[in-house]
Amino acid sequence: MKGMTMIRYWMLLFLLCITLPVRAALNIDIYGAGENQIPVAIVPFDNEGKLAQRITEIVSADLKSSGHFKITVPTSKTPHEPHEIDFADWRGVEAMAIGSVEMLPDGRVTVKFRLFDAVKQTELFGQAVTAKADQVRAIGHRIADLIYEKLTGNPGVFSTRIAYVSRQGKSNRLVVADSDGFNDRAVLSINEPIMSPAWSPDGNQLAYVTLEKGHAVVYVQSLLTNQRRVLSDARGSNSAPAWSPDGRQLAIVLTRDGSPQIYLIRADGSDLRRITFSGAIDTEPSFSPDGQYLLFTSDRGGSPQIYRISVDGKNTERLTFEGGHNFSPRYSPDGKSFVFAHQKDGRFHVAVQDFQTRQMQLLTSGGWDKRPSFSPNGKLILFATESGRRGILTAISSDGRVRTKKNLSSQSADIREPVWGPFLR
Amino acid sequence: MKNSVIGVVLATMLAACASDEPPVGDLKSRGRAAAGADTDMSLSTAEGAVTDSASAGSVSDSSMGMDRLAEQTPADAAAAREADRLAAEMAAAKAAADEAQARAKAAEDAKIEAEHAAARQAEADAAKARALQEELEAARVAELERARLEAERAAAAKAAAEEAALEAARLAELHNAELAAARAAAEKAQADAAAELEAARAAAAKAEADAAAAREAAAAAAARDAENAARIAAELEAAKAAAAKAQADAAAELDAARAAAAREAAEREAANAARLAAQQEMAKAEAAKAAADREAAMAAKVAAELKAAKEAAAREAAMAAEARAAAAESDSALNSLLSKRFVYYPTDVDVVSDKDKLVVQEHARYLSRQEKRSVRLEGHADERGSSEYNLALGQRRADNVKKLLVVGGVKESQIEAVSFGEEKPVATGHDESSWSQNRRTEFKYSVK
Repeated sequence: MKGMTMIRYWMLLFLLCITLPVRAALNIDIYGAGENQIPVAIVPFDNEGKLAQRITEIVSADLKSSGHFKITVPTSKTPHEPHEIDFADWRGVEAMAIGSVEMLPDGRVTVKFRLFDAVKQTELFGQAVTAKADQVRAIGHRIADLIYEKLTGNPGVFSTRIAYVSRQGKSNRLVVADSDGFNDRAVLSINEPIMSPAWSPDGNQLAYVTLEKGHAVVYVQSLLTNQRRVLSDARGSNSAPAWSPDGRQLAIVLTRDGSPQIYLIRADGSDLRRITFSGAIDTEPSFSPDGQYLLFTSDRGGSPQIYRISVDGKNTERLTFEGGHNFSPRYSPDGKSFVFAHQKDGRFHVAVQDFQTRQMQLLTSGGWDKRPSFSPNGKLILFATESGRRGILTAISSDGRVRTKKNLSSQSADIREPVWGPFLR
Repeated sequence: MKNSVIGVVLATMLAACASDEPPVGDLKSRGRAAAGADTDMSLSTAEGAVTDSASAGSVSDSSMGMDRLAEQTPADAAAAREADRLAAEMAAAKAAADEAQARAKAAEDAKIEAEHAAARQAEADAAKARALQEELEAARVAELERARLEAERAAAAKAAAEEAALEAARLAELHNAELAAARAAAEKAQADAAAELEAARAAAAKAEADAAAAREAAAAAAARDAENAARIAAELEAAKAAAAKAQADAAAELDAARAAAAREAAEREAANAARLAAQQEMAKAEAAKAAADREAAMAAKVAAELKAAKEAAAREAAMAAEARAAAAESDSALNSLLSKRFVYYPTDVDVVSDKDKLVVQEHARYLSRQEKRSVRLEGHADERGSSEYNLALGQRRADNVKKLLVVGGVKESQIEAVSFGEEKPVATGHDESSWSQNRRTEFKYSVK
């Protein structure tokens, strides 16, 4: 079954390569199966063959990549309307989706779909989505999000985007792509290193750092206009931008007063305030969802460890005590835990720690697993790792049971600095 | 070094001026008295003239006695023949007086001519002295300009040598073979510089020797001038004596003939001649004294110029030696610690090791002396850790090197400390041998 899916998927990819050669390719491999995967049938929609891409392929791939679903095809029948369903044909399936595509005279398309509880034989959800014909993937992601939310109770993240840096030789591209890696576009291409992309909470801006001025400078770039501006260009290094949840200010790291320390600055570049005063390295700030705290990495204790400080600069607290180095902390969306990179015996792991229990849990067996970030629903963690000496992107479920490797469009570029973007609003 | 060559040429020209065409030089420098003894001689000549004037007055007194003797003779009437004889004698005496007058005039003309010659000579001497002075001034200006240009050239050459050495050192880090070539070139340049310095020293010595020779020539010329002045004075004395004798003869004849008019005329002429002679003698003495003073001043000035030229040559030689020493020093430094452009660190360390502190101190010494140079310190980290943490770590590394440089006397404005974190590794392996090369601070030099 898995083999069939893969063959069909690769056929789809082949078609894509012919029709949309610029598009990125996505390759999903599930290394560990979740124990409680929901068997779901996504019946090919009526008339979808007239689209540039089959919507149900997109939906199936999305659901599968989440690790929560097993895509099943128990019959060759393809009902498109509720009355065409014979639930006897769909034994073993907990949920099934049917739908149809209607081409509108103005070039847009309307996609109607319905979701059924195949066990209870009841309709769970139905919706019609109209969009431009070239937004087929967005429609598919949207439908996948709705199915995911209906079946798991959590919002889906298939319509969200990710950002990462693609490095090939001297060329550095700051790339924004759909969460599945498709639809990638470079928002910045330079011949100097790009680091630390950070999404604004509304998803309309990226803060990042480049070395193009001969030292590290923090920029903010609009994804709507592509215009960018310097946020901070002080002497020494300007680095590690992180947006506050309200989007009004950023935490950044400056060396203008000596050691790398954490400052707050308004998004317009005004009102700079220093937060930490350690004289050691303080970097990688991450705002708590309520905006009241910052996690950060500091070597003030002798080795890089993770600390928490309130945004008024008081109440600093060390959070990690495990052996080795701990760095790159990021709050979970619910604020109850944080994910970080744990280095021990020369291996890097993705780890999470609960604020209440203070217990660290390793999510990966280790290697070059770095820079983890939560999906906005908190269910997945995107991180950078290596395959064949090349940086690639991998997602893992926050319980560590489902791991998905993403091979992005460029098979030769070194992919690094990934960060998952926010929900679209 | 070029400076010294110019010095040799100038000194040679100077010597040539002093030694060319010795007879003309003697004539032109006649009257150029360099010693006080010559001045004394001119003064004594003036005193002799005063004495002569007094003796002319005594001759006039004896003529008055002869007039009284003539008034007693007309009592003898039979002495008509005697009167005729007297008249004839008077005529003869008058002729003799005329002759004496003519002789005196001739002597006077000779004296005037001699004076004119002396005056012309003094003028010529003054012109020669001026020309010499101008030559010396021009030589001195040229010498100073040459010294300045040489100093600039030496500084530029030194800076260029340092730049070249820095570049060579940088290339050496990439190509060891090129380093050998660069070192050979640097050594050859140093050898050339040493040879040039030797040439400069020789030129300076030769210039000094030439100057001494010129001084000696000037002294000899002064001595010759003194002899000439003595000879002229003696000739004038002789002319004076002849004039005095002629005057005495004329006076005796006038006494005998009692020819008052002729005698008075002769006396007047003699007195005038003596007075004129005295005046001329005085004028000549004054002219001689002024010339002697001028000569003395000129000689002092020449000596001062020679001294200044010698000092300039010595200064230049010292500067050249200093420049060479500085170049040698910077060369040796470049060949050792200064050529080390990397400071390396153990894992997670951002302070400079004691061993590498020597390297940093050498850079501090260099930069504190070369304030127009600036350095960019680029801190790097290995790939372990996050890009943000490694950027911070690299910055700490660069900043700690900067602190050491500032402690070593380097101005903050000469230093820029930045970090590239893990982004620009020199080795890309996932192993300690690569990481240890990547944990570094690099010195990148430039000219402000």
